[in-house]
Amino acid sequence: MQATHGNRHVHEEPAPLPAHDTPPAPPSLAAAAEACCQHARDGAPDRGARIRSGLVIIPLVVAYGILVGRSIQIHVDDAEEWSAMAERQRVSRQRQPAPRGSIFGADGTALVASMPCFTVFADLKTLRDKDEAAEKLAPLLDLERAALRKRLDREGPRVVTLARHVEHDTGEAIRKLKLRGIGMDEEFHREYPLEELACHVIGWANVDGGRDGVELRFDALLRGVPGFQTVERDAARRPLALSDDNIYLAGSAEPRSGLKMTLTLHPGIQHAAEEELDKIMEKFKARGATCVVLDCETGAVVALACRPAYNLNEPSKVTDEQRRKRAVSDCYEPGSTFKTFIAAMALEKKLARRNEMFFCENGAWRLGYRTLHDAHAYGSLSFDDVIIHSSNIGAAKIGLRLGRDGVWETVKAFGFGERTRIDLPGEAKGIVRPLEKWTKDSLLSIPMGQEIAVTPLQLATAYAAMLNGGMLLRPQLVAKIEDRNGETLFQLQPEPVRRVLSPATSKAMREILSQVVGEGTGKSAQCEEYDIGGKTGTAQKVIDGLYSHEKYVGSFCGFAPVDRPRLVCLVAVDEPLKSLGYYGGTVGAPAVKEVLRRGLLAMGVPPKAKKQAPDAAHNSN
Amino acid sequence: MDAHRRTLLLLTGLLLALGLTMVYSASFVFAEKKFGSPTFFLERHCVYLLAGCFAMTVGALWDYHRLARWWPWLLALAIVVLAGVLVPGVGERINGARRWYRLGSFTFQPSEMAKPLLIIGLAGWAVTRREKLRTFWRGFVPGALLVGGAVALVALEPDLGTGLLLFSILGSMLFVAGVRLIYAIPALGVALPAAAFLAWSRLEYIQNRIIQFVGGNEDPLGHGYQITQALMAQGSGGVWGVGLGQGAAKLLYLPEAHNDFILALIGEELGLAGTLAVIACFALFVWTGWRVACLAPDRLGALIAHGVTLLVGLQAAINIAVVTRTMPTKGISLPLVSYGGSSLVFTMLAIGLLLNVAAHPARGTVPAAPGVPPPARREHPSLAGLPVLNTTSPTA
Repeated sequence: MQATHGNRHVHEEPAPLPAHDTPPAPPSLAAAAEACCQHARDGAPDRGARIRSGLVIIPLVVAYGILVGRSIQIHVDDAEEWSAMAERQRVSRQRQPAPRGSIFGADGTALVASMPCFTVFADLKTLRDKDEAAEKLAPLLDLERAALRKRLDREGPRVVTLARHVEHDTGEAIRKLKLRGIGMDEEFHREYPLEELACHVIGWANVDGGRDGVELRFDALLRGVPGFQTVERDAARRPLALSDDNIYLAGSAEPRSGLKMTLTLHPGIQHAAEEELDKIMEKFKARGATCVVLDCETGAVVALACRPAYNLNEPSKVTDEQRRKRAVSDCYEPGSTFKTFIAAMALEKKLARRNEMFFCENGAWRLGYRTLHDAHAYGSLSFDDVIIHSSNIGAAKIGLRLGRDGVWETVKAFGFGERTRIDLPGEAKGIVRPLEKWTKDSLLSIPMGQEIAVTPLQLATAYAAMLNGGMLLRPQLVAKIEDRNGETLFQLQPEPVRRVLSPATSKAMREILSQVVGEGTGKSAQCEEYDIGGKTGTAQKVIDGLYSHEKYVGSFCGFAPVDRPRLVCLVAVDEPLKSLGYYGGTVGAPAVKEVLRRGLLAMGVPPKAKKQAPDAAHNSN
Repeated sequence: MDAHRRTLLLLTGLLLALGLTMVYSASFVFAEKKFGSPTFFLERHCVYLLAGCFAMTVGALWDYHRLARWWPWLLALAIVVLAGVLVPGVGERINGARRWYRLGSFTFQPSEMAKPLLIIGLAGWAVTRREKLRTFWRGFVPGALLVGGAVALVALEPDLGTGLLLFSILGSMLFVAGVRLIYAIPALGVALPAAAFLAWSRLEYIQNRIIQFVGGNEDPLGHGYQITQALMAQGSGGVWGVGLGQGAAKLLYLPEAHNDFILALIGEELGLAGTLAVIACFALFVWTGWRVACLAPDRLGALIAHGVTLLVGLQAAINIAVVTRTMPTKGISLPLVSYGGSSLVFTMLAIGLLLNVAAHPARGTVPAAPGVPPPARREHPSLAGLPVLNTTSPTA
């Protein structure tokens, strides 16, 4: 330390010139600088020190070379892998639901609406204050606070759905609470403003898509294309944004709503049909009832109603009985309503003439092992009267004229035993025994509408063919499909299946059937405003292989106006209480009359002049 | 030597400028989230930068010979600050390690301060020993005790990364100064296994780091999270980068993006080009620093230049190696570039010392004054250390 002391004196005397930045020094200064260095010098670094220093430094420089190689590896060779990984954690694609296409009635009434709504869920992993969440959410979601709190304690999946179909305003209120761990998904949910109306046709849809009816059949068209937003998020999962409302989107596509469909269904007529069915259900304590209204000229289904029905907005509460689309999926033996097809075919093939007389065996025709009965005993009846008074024996005799092949041809020609290809799921074919399995009885039974089962829609379609001039048309439900720009993609056009009858035969059948209402079994379908024709049917149900004397299907198939039919209406009543009435003329005809009357008025078909007496009208046919 | 000084200044300036830019780019998201102000780290970095400039100026202008004469005090100060931080209540404990002093809202890392102090101190001590350095008792033992003591104090914080760095720098300085390595072999044979055993058994986080390094990125969400994120960032950058400020790693994905892992962000935003530029800067720095050490006018200068070059160069290499997963993770920042208060200030002080050495012309390079013959090359045993300098008259 002494030495250090001494050194200080020496050192501080010459001005310590910073050696660097020294300009070319004047001699004295340079000398001083040199002196400064000289005296400070502890001996120059020797060669060994340089080598040793190099031994340390050079490996370090080499190490830099390795790091260069490593960087190239990461930045070039493995770049794709790493950047893909980075993108996966940062970029998320948010699905944006597309509203389902809307469905309208023929008159433009909206049958369904897609309402924007929210599904509220809790992310149990990020949810911190469960009590607060429960307390604030319970009143908004209309839930019990304690119950809600309990659900937040649930073990198992991380995300718990708290409420679905939360209205838009409520959702916004929840969003404003800014509760951590509570999230919402935007969705659309289907609302059916007409509730029960046409439930079996419209069907219903949930978040997964169509579940029944048109909603299911045309799900692909109604569904729409969901949009997406590609959002980049930071590690705290916040989206990159300039502000709360201005989120940066790396990519996006607008959701595209589904197509707009207009059904042929006329809500007014549908409503009339349903009202009538409700009355029948009430009045006859029936098990079920169905009504099909077709436009004869186009095959359009104007109304299709079944009872019992259900509220489309509560699909979870529906029983199977309510869900059954009786008009297309239930088969029944048509009974007398079937006789007209046999008669029409006999006329068409000129195997019978309208004025020809058939002996009706005074009500009972004994055929060895089997006896056919009529409801009322008749002697000789003209061809027309066989239908007008619905004689089983007469119909069987006309059937014999046609023979096995003729009856078989009739059944096939009118489309029985095959689907009508209506645009509804779950359509039944009906039951038609193949020709080779026919017994001797079959030839007698089928013309009376036994040994054959049809769906109400098949029957109505066949009637439409018989009355519209003889052309079988595919029944159709869709009047129009438009895309989101209002461009029409599909417009209803009649779809002929085959010609069944000649227009002359069709005209003859219209005349005969108008007399059924005028003077025969269908008098209760008489109407002041329109000329109505039709045919009754009262079929015994088969219970355990035997015809029941308690359970019937009473039906009536009517049409109007007689000279140029616009609408065909079939009402079939399943198991009316026998004591209250079960004949087709009793249970079905008044309803058909009412539906046709209201339907034609709604379609703007002018009623006939009021002064004209109904009799006069019939005479003119 | 003027060219070397210019090169060193230019490289330092470039790295500082890049650091300033990247610290802001890397930190504004985190700063906004944590402190509500995007410029939080930028402002502080600027303050440290000013302090660093001051420190560098002091280091460059205060003749290193005069500074080195205080070597016993410098060493003592280094030991005191390193020991002081271990005292509970004095040192600030963050994440289970006592590595910081807190001064108001600024923290101060004694191990950073100790680096330049130990480099000058050790150099000063070494030149006083001169020939005795080669002996065992007068050279190796005190040197090893000094280095071992300082490294042990740092390792006890615990900060094994910095301990290892310090050990490498000081150890290599002893080696360059002439301490015979042969003595170290038996000592290392005992010390290294003991240190390894201690590290392995007592410090779980070291285990995790080694396991994670050996096991690759099998656990990208756990202990390998940070390095995985760093690699993802670099890979995303490709050759030319995603563009300044456009990086995604800073979106809170990469912890300490502005600090130890700032190179990953440079790699992301400026691409391979940026990374290679940084590596090139440091490589050139090391080369120039070594040249300065070789051309230094005296052993003291050479040792200081060697130590400082190694301090910057080795620390950078370790940091880059960590960020590129060439080495297991250590808490070591990228000198001059990383955000980091005391590190920046004292690294700049150290660079100032390097400039100081470079400013002293080596023998024969001083412009000869007319009439003054160039001094003869002298190797006098009596000039072994500073204390004997006064025996040499300036005009001798």
